[in-house]
Amino acid sequence: MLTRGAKWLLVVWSVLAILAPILPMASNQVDLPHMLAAPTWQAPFGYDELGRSVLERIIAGASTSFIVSLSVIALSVVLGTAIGALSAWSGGFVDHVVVRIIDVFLAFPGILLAIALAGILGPGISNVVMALAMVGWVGYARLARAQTLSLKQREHVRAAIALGAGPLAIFHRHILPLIATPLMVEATFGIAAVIIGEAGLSFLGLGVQPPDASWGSIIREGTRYMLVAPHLVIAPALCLSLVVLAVNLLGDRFRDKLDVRFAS
Amino acid sequence: MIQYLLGRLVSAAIVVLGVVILVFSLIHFIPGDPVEVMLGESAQSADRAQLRSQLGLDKPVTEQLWGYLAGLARLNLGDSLHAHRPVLDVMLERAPATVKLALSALAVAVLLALPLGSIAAIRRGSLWDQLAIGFATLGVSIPNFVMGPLLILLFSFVLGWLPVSGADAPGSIILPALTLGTAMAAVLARMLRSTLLEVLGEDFIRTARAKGLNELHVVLGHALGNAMLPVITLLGLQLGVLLAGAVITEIVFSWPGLGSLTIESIERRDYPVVQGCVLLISLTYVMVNSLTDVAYAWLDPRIHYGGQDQC
Repeated sequence: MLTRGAKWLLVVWSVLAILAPILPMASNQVDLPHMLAAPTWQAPFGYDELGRSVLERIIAGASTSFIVSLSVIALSVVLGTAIGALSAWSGGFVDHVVVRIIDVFLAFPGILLAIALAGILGPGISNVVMALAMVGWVGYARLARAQTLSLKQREHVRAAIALGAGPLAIFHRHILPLIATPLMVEATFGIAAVIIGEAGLSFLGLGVQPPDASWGSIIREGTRYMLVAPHLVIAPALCLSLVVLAVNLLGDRFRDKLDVRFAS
Repeated sequence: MIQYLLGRLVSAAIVVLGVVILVFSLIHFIPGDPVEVMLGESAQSADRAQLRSQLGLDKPVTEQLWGYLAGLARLNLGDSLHAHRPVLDVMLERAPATVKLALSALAVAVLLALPLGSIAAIRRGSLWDQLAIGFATLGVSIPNFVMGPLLILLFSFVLGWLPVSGADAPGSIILPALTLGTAMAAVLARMLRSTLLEVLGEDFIRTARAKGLNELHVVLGHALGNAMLPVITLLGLQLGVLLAGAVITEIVFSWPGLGSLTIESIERRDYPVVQGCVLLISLTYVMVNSLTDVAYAWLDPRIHYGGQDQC
């Protein structure tokens, strides 16, 4: 029941995010007579400080978080898996150095490094993706390294080596299929983290710039008018939390179903 | 034990060096000319040259790094471009507020998580358990910048009990500490519940019950202590989330700590201060984590001290 609700919520989120550019919306259209107006039938979530429909802003924001989370996850998974697997496969000095680099990245608490990077790279959606991916690859690298390290000793891999298969072929045919599942589970939770990360950076003013919408920047602008128009904060806060909750719930189910144990 | 401590110290030192190098190189990620970004396009060329030599950007990179490390050794992090004072002084003014916030949040987290996690484990499957699990799931899904404004809305605007922001009014720390603490409490309660459930299934608990001890005594005297070790480790790891979360929480509540200093400095393009803050926060985190590891090894005699502390 809960799982089904979560699934539907994510379907709605993705569909709205993909369709946002072609929907008949004017999410950046300033309309001062409606300034801070309460919810009506035309705008179920009310209007913001420039008279824009909060619902339309939220749909535009959904698009931002969807694009950012997919790009960041794709980038970090590919980069992290490549680095982790390569490191485990090479062993020796290379592996030693990579482990140290991973340790260094893990030494930065939470999204602090992303905040610093986004602050220094400057605002904008591609810089947000870059900052979050620079922080995100580490988890996948650690996981891919640990998994590859244990797979390297397995008989089917040793047999492939004995048969003269190249490292790329072995990785592609004998390692990747076996490490894909834990990586996918990790990536599911990663999506939740990236959605929060993107919204957090935009909340701090380091992400998507006005007039473009992000759930974080909608909340940030909303807090200024919270006393007169609480819907400006409540609506995006609810959407963001529900989507993150749904992703986390599905991640939990996914993990339980596959019974993946993390090597962390 | 000595060997373990030494090994731990060496790997911590390597990580610290790596963190310093990464923070040092942050300034080189600035797209274009850092000096132009910091001073603006209209700056005089003499001013630019002065800043360039002040930041050491006119020297080769290796020399810059060496200068940065040498400065660090003398606790010199450079000067703030905005305040025209040493970065360290600027940071030390703001640090106490962050420490106060972090400790209060930690207290909130522990005070919430201990009873919640314990009750959930003891009354497994009950309504309390369901509530605790629900709280834990919600807690990890609601980010600080959502929780904070919602708390302000409820406690400051609707009920009028607490100040909206700042650090001057009495009780102003309650809402930021709650915002930061509940998220951590959620993770801790979840962990405590699962370890406590594991411990409660052990033989010595059955023995304690067979001796006729009442349930309260069994839980408080025998089970809780043994379930605490993983929780303490998690506490160390969660501190990182707490410190990063403090940046956002401080912005929400205009709390005058290191987090708001970081964001203000980003806005003012005062990058030496940004570097200093990131460095200070990360090094605190590394230090606490290393101490947690050592404390863990010290508390739990089952842990091997010999080498192998790699991931």
